[in-house]
Amino acid sequence: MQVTLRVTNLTKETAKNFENVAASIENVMAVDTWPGRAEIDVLKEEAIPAIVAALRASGFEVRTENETAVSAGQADETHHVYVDGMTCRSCEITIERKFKRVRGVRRADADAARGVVKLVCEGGCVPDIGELRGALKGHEYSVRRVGAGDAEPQGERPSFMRLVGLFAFVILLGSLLSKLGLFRQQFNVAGSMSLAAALTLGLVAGSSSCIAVSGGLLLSSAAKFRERYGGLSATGRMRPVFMFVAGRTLSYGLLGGAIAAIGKAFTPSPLVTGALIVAAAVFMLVMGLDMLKIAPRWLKSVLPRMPKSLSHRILDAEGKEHPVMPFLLGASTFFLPCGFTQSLQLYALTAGSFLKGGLILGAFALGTAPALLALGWASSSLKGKAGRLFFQFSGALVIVLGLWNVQNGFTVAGYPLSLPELGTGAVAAGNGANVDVPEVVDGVQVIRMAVGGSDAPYSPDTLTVKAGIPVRWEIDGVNVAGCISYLQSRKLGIGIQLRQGLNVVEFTPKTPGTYAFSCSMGMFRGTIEVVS
Amino acid sequence: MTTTLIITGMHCASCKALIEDVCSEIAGVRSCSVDVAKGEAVVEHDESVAPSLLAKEIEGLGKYGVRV
Repeated sequence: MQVTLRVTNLTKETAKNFENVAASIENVMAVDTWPGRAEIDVLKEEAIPAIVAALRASGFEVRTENETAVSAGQADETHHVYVDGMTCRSCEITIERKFKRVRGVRRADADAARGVVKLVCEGGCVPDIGELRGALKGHEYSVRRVGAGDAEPQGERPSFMRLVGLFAFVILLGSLLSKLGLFRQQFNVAGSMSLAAALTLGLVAGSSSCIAVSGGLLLSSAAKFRERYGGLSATGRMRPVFMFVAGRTLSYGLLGGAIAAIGKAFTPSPLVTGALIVAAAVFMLVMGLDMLKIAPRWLKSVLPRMPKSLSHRILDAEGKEHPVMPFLLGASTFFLPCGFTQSLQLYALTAGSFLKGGLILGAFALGTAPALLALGWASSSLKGKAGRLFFQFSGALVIVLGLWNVQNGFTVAGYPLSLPELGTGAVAAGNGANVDVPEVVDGVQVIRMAVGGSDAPYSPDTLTVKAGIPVRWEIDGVNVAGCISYLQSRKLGIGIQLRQGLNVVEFTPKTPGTYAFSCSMGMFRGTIEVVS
Repeated sequence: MTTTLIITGMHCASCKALIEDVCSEIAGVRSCSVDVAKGEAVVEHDESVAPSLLAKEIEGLGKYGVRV
């Protein structure tokens, strides 16, 4: 019969010696060795204890599989080891092989997709991170941390019903908030403005639609950090959030100052703005899917990754993310359109000096900080069941926001998508299409629209004109503030800052078709039908 | 003696690392060098090691095909 012995000090070097010693023992018929393990064909079962004793006498640390099983049976412990750098099946096998050799490890089960290795250890044995790192020395993997056994790794894929529930909740919440008018908050930036007013404006913006974009970005990155570096202390986990907010505040201050100094707004063309929104939206979508663990594998490989050498440099020895990433992300939010920031940028234009413009926008960004910090805190500090639920909720939220922003981005760029109404409900509700071609008076056709009224953002939101005849578009600014104070249509070449009262836009449509117009964020939309 | 194994199914550096690792642990193998692009492993080993054993160990990893 054959017995398998675990020999902890059996290595390639000692194998020959072991085989010689074992072969000379009575009742041993054949010996086969592997690192840490030996298979011995013995004549009769009763001889096993004597063989083990003889091997021990020769200095080998031998245990039979039975003994191992017994000692392990008392308390087999499962640990999750988080390993970076695994990409494929070969990586899994390599790591499993290496870890199995670590003292006390009975089984290793690597999952490259999740970056986790499940280790089953003998009772009472806690794998030492140093030993595990040593085991992977010379390979391009890094052991990030060893997690407690009973807690499943963060972010198990939720069940289908739970997903349905999460999305239903997010959409319900969105439509509820929009009914309450949260997305329609209108503020007028007129005349001169104090720093305190900018700060207050920021506070308000932080709890409104503005957070839809930058909050979504923060949430997706903060949640990602939490998942990857959950082992850090509370302050450690909050660090990326602080960096994000710091980056945002600083970039607003600097760029706001620059705007004032140069006297030219950094408002890229609608096409660029639209592309920017779509890019941010796609990022959110992918992150959201990833947070919910429903991202298909190919999607992960599409995700841009930092070059290895670079990521090694910005990840220090403890595996902490360098603060530069969230910082840059926060800084980039300056370019994401939001009604409030755009009105403020326009204000900064008139501020006249670097200091004044910088202070105003800096104060505004600082005002949005509490809301962002709260969001970041919730996503990084909630633990256990509440934490997981919040994490999944954030995932669903980020996906919905992403979809919404895709739509907005395309609208701004002049290619409106007709996606079904997305939860937030801020999308212009169909409010009486004016399908009649207007009368032509003195060679000009006149169309009228009210903006910012209590019933609808654009009323009517569909207008019809004839091609080839000059159009006089009379826009009644009922309550113009926030992003709705800017009306744009890339295809018609329109982009104007609306004032309270009568605004007039004149253009001559040349080719029949449907032309979209929207607010600066693409959040409120309408169309002009040009007929022949 | 030196044996060249033709290995199919390798696709990345991890495969190379894995096969070299497994191969060099076989008692009697002195060195093992894998070329992923060529799909080859050049193994230097004692006379006592049968090439078929090398092939068996590598195939034992589950996803590679080996010809001696």
